[in-house]
Amino acid sequence: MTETNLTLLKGTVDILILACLGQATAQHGYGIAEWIEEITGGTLLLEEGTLYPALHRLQRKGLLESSWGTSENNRRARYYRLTQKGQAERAEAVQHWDRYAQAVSSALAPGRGRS
Amino acid sequence: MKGAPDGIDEELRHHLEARAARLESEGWSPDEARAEARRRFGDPRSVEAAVRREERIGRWTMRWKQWLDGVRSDVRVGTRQWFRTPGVGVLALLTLALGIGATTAIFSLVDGILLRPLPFHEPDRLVALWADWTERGGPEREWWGYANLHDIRTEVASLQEVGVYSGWRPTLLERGDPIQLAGAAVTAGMLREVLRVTPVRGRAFLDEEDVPGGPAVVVVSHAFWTETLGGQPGVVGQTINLDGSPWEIVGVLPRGFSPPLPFPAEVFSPLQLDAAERQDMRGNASFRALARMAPGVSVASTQEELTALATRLEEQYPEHNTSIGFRAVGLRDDLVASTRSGLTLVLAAVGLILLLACVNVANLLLARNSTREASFALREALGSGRRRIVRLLLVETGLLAAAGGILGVGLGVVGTRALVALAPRGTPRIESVSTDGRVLAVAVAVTGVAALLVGLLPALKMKTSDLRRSLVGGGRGASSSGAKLRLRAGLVVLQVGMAVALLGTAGILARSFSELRSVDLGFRPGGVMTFFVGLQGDGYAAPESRMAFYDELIPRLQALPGVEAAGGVNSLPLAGFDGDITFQAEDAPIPPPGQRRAAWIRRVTPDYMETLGLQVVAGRGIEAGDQRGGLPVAVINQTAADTHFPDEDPLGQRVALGDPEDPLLLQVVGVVADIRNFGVRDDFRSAVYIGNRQYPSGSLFLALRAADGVDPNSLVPGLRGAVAELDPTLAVSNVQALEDMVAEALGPDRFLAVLLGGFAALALILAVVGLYGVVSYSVGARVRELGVRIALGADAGTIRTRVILASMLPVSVGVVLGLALAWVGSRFTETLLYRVSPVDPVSLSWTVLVLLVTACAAAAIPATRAARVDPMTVLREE
Repeated sequence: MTETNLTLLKGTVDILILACLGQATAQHGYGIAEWIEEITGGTLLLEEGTLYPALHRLQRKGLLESSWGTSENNRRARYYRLTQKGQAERAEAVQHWDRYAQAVSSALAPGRGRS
Repeated sequence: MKGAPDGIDEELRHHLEARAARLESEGWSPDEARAEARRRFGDPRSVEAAVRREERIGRWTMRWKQWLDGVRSDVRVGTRQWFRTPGVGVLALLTLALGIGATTAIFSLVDGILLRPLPFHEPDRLVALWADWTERGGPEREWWGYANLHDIRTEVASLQEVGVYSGWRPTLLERGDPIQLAGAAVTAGMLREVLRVTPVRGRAFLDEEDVPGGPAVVVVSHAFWTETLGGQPGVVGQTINLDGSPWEIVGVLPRGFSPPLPFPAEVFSPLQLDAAERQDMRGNASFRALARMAPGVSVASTQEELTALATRLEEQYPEHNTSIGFRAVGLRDDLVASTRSGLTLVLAAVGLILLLACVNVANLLLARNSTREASFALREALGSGRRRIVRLLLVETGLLAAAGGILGVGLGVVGTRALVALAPRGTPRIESVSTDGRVLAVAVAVTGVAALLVGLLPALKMKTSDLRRSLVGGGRGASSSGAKLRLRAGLVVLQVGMAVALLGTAGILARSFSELRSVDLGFRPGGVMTFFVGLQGDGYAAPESRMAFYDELIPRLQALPGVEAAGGVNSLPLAGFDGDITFQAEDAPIPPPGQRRAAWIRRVTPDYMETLGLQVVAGRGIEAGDQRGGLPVAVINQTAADTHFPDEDPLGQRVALGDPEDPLLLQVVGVVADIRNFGVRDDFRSAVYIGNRQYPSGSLFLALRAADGVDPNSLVPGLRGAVAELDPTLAVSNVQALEDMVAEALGPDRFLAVLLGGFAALALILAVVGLYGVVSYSVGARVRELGVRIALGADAGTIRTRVILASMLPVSVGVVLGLALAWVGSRFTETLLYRVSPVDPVSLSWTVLVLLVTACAAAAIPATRAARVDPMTVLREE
């Protein structure tokens, strides 16, 4: 792993959100941002605000649902969780991403095989 | 603090605060933590805007889905509704379908004939060239002498190529009976450069084939190849026997290619004019010409150049070209000129029919909706928005229009076929009429417009009328009936107006047609059968041999059973052939070239006048004794006698034919009554008849008058036999009863009168149905009032009269509107009429009378019902 921050590919935010909500039962936007930060060790350069349009878009598509709840610091926060359609979409997206990432990395480093 | 009701604000703020708290717990100062949180977040405003956009899209999608669901359910409800009131539904459907169908059919006719481009390469560059003789009292579109065309071809730069042609009627002598062919002799450039047609087999003519004494080669049409020759592949290079000599086929034109000539040509040969013919034909008129303009040149600038050339040639050849104009006419306009005004009128009429149909359906729907007002009011009271009611109505109308459109297009396709089949013979471009994508697109557009017209009014009405009042009003819809009645009366005004306009116009056209039919033609077409025998081949090269043939044939024809008289002429009346010759009294001064008078000339056999029933008014007709070597004689018509011998007896005088410097002098031995030679509506012109035995013609048309009670068609086998007996290689063609030729000449007028008559009848029916509906409705709405009146002792007869009179108010206004419409339309009909004014008071009076009587009858039925209202029943219902 290098120290460079990676700029996000288009559509990656959606997948990260789905992946995060696949782990937790329900999470608010800030929680998702923290999760991404932790899981990637801070390598992904995420402008945190971009999470929100993505969350609302996924909700419009019926992949997420949301409800208001109280957060750790006793504030009202909107919690998101995956719908059934969202679960299916997550599984598919993860699979698709894996294949895609493998294909790209083997293309870039044909001699070394899988990284 | 609470954010916007949707909480987006709050959600974002939560993020920033949580982040800042986290940073503070890691040791940042509160201010730095807030700033860092803001930095990591990005611009909160643009984030908020992005989120709101997502939300908005979400709301729209939801609404659209709801709306679609709503429409879907409206379609279900609407369909059920239509099945619940099938009577109204079927009536509305049929009315719409008729309107759309009629419009589709007429439009496909107009499109095929007037609008569609001609099926040639860059057709807008094609023009027809005509010699304009109007200044010399001749036709506007006269054929050409070749020399003028030669000069046009070489000197007019706007014209890329000029193609010249003349008619050619060879006889095909192959297996079986001889066949008379229709063909044209053309210059080499005609097919190749003017029409730009590429033969599917072989080639077009070469320049070296279009020279005097050139090879006997033909190009044939695709239909001639497949149908007459059997369609074998190796046709190019084969020879066929035309007029007794072999002609080599060098090319076959593409399938369906039909040259823009005034006759359906099957075979083409090179014109092959010799030097003498090329130079010596400035005055004669034996050729027609088509030309292709250079790219980017307009008809107007071509015309300018032609006019300049005409002026130049007039100075150069005053004896031939004085007062002769040169005209270029766009080829499509040239072909369809005769049909334009008639078709435009029919299109306008069918537009009125469509409008009338829409008004009728709108009226029906208004009536239908008024009975549903209570149910609508209930829906509204139960919280269903007025919009949704309007939407339901629009969906219902849409369903009706869609069904009407489908049925209408079906009717339109059938109607188009019927129109093509019924169209008068010789209608230009009728073969290109079909219901294709263009026509269907127009039909769909027409349906859309109809749906709007039909649906909008009832829907708007629903918005403005107060539904709740109709609930209070006892569910009878009576309270708002006043306004509704006024609206529907307005529709009746429109309907009656359009019906009067159509009926009036149709009536005037019918009168004009009946005038045309009763025109005294000057000959008696009943019982006369005619045919043509082309004498071609070496055996008939000499005039004597041709004369001998007819001298043999005519007595044989006269001897046929059932034949009363038989004779021959070089061209029959109404056949559309000119044939003018310069004509004057022998001792009259010779006028300058541009002012010489002409007469049409016919060569006739002795019994021709008797056979056709021409009236000899003075002297005698052409007789058997008028033959070669005898006194050269002429019979002139009444117009010629009046024009050239105004103050003296023409009998015994001499007339000069042809070049006045070197005329042919003939002694006038008789005067015959004028006949309609060129068309039923044409004015009389001077004419001269000469004896075929004195001046033999090439080939003659023959006429046989059947004896009383004998069907002229029964003479056909006999006349064919008589010709075959004399010479089995001769083709009998153009077998036609003279009465049919007269009918054909009237074909376009008949077609127009019948179409307009049909539309007028349809309009009358639609208007009457509309009126009936309105009166029925008003009686229904007033039933309580009428009941009270009757209970108070009103007389049944008085009530009926009052109801009828009340309904006559919108009818009268409609009549006035209709007369105004007819007056506006009269400028379009004027050119189509014969001896009838376009605002003929007789026709229009009849129209008004018919309409008023029918309208009274339509109103009388509900009025009688009104008079029979039983007061007890009505009052009990209260």
